[in-house]
Amino acid sequence: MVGIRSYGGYVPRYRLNRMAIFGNMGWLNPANLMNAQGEKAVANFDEDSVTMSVAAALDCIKGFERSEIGGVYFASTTAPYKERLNANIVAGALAANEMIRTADFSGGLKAGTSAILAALDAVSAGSANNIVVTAADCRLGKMGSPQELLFGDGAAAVLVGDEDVIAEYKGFFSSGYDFVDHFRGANSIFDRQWEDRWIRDVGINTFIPEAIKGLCEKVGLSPGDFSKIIYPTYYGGARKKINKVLGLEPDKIEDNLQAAVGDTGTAHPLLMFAKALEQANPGDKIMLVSYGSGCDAIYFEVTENIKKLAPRKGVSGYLGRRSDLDNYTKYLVWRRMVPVDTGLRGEEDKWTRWSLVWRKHKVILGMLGSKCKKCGTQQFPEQRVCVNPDCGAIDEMEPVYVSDKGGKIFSFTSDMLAASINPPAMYGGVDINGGGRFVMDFTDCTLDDLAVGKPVEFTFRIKFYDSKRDITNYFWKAVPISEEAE
Amino acid sequence: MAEGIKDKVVILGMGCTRFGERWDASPEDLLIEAFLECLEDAGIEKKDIQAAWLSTHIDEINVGKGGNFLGLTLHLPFIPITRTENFCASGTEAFRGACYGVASGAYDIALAVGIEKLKDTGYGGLPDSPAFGQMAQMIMPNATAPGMFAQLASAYSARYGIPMEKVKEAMAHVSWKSHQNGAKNPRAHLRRPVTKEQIMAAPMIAYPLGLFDCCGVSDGCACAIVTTPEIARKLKPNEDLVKVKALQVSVSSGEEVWYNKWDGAGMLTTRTAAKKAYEEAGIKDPRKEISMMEVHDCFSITELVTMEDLGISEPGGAPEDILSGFFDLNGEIPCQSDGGLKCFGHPIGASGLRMLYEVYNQLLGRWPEDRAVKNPKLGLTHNLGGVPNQNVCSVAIIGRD
Amino acid sequence: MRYVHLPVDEEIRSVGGYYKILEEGIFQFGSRKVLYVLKAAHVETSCCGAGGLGFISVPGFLVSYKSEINENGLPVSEVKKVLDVEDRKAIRNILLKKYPYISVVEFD
Repeated sequence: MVGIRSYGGYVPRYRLNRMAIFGNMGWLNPANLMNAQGEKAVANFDEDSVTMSVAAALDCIKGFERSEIGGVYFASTTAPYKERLNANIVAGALAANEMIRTADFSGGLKAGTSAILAALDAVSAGSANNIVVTAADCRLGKMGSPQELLFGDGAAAVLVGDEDVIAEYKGFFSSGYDFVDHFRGANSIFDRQWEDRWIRDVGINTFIPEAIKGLCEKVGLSPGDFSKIIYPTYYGGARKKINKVLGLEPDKIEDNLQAAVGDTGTAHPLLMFAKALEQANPGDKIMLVSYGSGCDAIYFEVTENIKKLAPRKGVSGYLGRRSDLDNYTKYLVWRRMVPVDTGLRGEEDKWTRWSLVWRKHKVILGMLGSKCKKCGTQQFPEQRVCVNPDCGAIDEMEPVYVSDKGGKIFSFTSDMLAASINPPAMYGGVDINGGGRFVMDFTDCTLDDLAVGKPVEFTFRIKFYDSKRDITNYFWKAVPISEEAE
Repeated sequence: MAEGIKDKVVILGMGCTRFGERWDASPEDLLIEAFLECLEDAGIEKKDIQAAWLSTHIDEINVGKGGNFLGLTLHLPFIPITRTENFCASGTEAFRGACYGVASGAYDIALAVGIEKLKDTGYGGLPDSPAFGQMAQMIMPNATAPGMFAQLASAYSARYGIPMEKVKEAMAHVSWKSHQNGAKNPRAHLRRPVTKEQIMAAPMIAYPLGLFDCCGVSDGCACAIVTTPEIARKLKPNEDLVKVKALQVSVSSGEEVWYNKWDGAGMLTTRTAAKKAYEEAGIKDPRKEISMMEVHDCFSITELVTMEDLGISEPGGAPEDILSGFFDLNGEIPCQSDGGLKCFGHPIGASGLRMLYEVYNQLLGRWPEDRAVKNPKLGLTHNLGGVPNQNVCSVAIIGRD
Repeated sequence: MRYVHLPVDEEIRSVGGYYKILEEGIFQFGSRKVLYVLKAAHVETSCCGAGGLGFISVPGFLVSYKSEINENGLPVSEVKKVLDVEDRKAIRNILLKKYPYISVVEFD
């Protein structure tokens, strides 16, 4: 049986109230008041589509062994690299085996579901198994644009395989149209769009019902037979019209998360799907539909296995873990939309030495440490000489990945002088669970969240960005876990 | 069995520039200013110098790599010159090189110079450099020194159950004391006393270190000429001599940064170097025998924990000692009688030699009464370079016979 | 606890920079009054860094305001420290609303 074995979601911690955006930019475009309700999820200054994908993928593979991963597909229209496979960075962070199938999917907002279909096909064909499919987006609208209000940041992931599936793959329908409602040229960072009415009436209201009906016909069901039909669109009127045309009851429609997150592009159908699976029961028929340069519609039937799935944060968990970002200009700077003064010191070159990065890629991406076979001491980063002063054994190490171990704060500080676009920089010593100590950045927190002895988990983030050469470097940071979340 | 350095080397002369933002002075000017004082004090001629060690820390600006700057500026006649770089201990390392050169019998007279010209970057603070190598840049936080040292304070407070308020109060006293002492010193970078309230009210740079808990960056140069006791006695038959009693360096093993046993409330390197230095100098009870100290007060918390790491204060006892005035100029063991890094200034490569300069002159009773330590016999200097979890520490002890 | 009021708008220099108290304020918080101090620092050349920061410190709830003069001739108030976590959060939010450009609110 081929299908979905697991799912995970990720919504970044910071939420920007849309009225705060409008308060800053409404003078330019007063019509945007229509879009200024609710809040949008905003990637932290050290997050992007790759890091959000890793977070969702880690949520997804909870309860599975990394060694089981047989492929990593990454879908996004906002990948940090055009050349350098982004999926390999994700796979590296998951510490997956390297002799597996990896691929990036991009170009249109349906790329997320296309990646799922590709994974389902590969598993069905027996070419690969246990493929992690992640999708994330972090799209930008210009200051004062509707997109700036409507888009949000987020990621979702599913594990596609043929054992213990929680949702069986039962059929698909796909279309591809060079219908340009939104587009970005290869050198543009901002979304552009054609007229709303045209997108709504000709795009969404045509292609989404076509896909839903098309799939229904293929599998001999009617829309009403499905427990949930999941499709993205933030146009409220268009949703009503589609539901009416298809005769769908409101409870069969998954919430589009517009009020709490915003449209997360390629990730959005997957994000809604991951959220729907949290509540799904065995026997539920779920249709997952994407939209953008055509549509994919995929039919899943939930199995008994869903009850056995290890608990995870999921979309709901991350939705509940929130902080206000009450500063619009901070958002602009985090997304590198406006130039800021980082001082002369900020102009100093920070090189990335690719040969070094390759030699140490498992340490940097996967948090590879060592465990001494002589004395049992776990240590990070990987060592050849045991750090235990009473042992000191040489070349007696076995590899151990510590990224999922978490730890406890050993010491910390909040630093007003360290160069950062999110001051104060917070960092400190972390005692890794199971052994080892390392000095790490803390993120997604304030000074009040830090205390000696407090538990932390590790999260994959942007370490530094070299604007001169457009290089994004990644490493792990520590996030304090609050007691109420545990 | 190694005998150690005790009594094998005499400091024949020392020199030190005014520290500060010496916008008008080139490194050559700084070097010549300190060297002339040193040469005159030693009572020798340039040609008597047989070997030299040059300490500088920063490559990016300053005087470049190698020993050439020293040879080219003083036109030393093709003698061996070795550059030493070991973070903030670089100056003491140059001194150690010169002392070992003399003690080994290889040279009769050797010169140690420390210099740093930092105010040519165009921005405050030290130049950015991947101080711990390229890999550290990929995985270590983009930390500043105040941020790393600040963590000593939280760990210290937690380790000994001493409320942060008390730690802050003791840190304020440390800073207040240096400002009191620095104000009296014409060569100090900052000569301005401040009140404890002003220190305590200062904004936090890196929690819990405030503006006054952090040292600055200065230009400056200091040097020493060393020789054997026999030659010194011949050259200075009727004067007190200052002899080297101990020279120790300790470098982190990785235990602090990667292993889980370190308590974070003090430096393992300082503890190691101090223990060995007392053995080398034959000191049994440092709290009774040491007359004065110049320690690496890059941050107030560093000075606080160093009092314990050096074995002067009991573990957890430094705040009490500090607040009781034990380390004040008129206390039992005056510490930073010249204003320390915080007020005298901190040109990295020169700092170790600057500390020796202060102790040397105090031992010889050369300072005016208002800032003189009373009848000192043994003085200790201490440098700590790097950050608390990976650092280089040097401890030197010199004494008047 | 005693709080010594330092003069406003006076540069206080350290080797690495200087700071100034820009204003002192009091606001009503339920039945109590909160004393806060707005400061600006310019770190010009501290060991390993430079920058500037705005900073609010909160000595505490006022018990008595400038009720005595200390040995240096400075006014002294009696304050009670803000220790409750929820109070701290609320006070921080009020201050950040009033001074949105401040990144650090410290409780004494």
